[in-house]
Amino acid sequence: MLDPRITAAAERLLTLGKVQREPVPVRQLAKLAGALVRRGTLPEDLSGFLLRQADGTIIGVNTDHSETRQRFTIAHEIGHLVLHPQQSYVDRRFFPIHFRDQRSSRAEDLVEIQANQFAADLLMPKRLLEAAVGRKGIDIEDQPEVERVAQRFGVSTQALTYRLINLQLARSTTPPKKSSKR
Amino acid sequence: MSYDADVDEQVVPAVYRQIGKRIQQLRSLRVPPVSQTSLAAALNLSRASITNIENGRHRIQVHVLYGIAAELGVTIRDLLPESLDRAAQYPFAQHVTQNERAAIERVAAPKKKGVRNAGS
Repeated sequence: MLDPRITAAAERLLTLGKVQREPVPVRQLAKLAGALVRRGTLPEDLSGFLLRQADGTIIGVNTDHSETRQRFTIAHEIGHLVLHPQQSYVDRRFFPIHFRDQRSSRAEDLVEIQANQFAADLLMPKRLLEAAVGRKGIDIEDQPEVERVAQRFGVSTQALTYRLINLQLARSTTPPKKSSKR
Repeated sequence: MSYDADVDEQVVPAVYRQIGKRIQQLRSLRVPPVSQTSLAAALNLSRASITNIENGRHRIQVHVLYGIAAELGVTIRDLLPESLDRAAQYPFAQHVTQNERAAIERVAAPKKKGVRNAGS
């Protein structure tokens, strides 16, 4: 379930940044949201962090990770910045959390789920994604097509696939394996 | 909407939390320790007010600050952070190992050389 308040928060930032098309300039938006982005090497399992200190907020991103992951990390940290006051965050893995049931999650997981939603809302705004794949969406098993769209948005195919499913823009046509005529 | 104002909203509470923490530390360092109850009584406040001051929820007023300093036998300078600096960091929501913290500090530290993160 997508939380409309989170979507609205992401939309506000996109509007503020006058973002009209993909790929969303996530580093610029971080600055606009009031954070300084610093890059560097972190332990392998750390994607990034949001460090809040009195003289400013810093988003750190692990540059050992792929560009798409770095972009998602920054967007995720902006999510913490915008949605979750008064704490710093260190982020290990994002995606497994997606699969957990929101209702049974601990509060800690919930903030991560929210930051993930914000990241998806920010990097793959519904409007732009619809424009890219059409209102009917695309076949998420059509690897080249998913890849192409993911590249346009600067996200991983995994992140895009989740997003397409969440926005009901995923057409799944498993049956006739061979003839992918669409 | 001004984002600078939002940043201030994050920064300001940190100062009060730090002051509160300092009060709590100095209070327990006295010999014998000063209880919240006796500090409250001396200042004509409720114990809950002291709790709120100590956890930074209540933004302490200057005259109360003087009162607390006097009760603890210190000056107000001893209760105030030197500057709004990194000491006022917000704690991490999750557990962070020492190793991770060191890496985070390293990445967060200002870079000596020119700006590195240009582009989208």
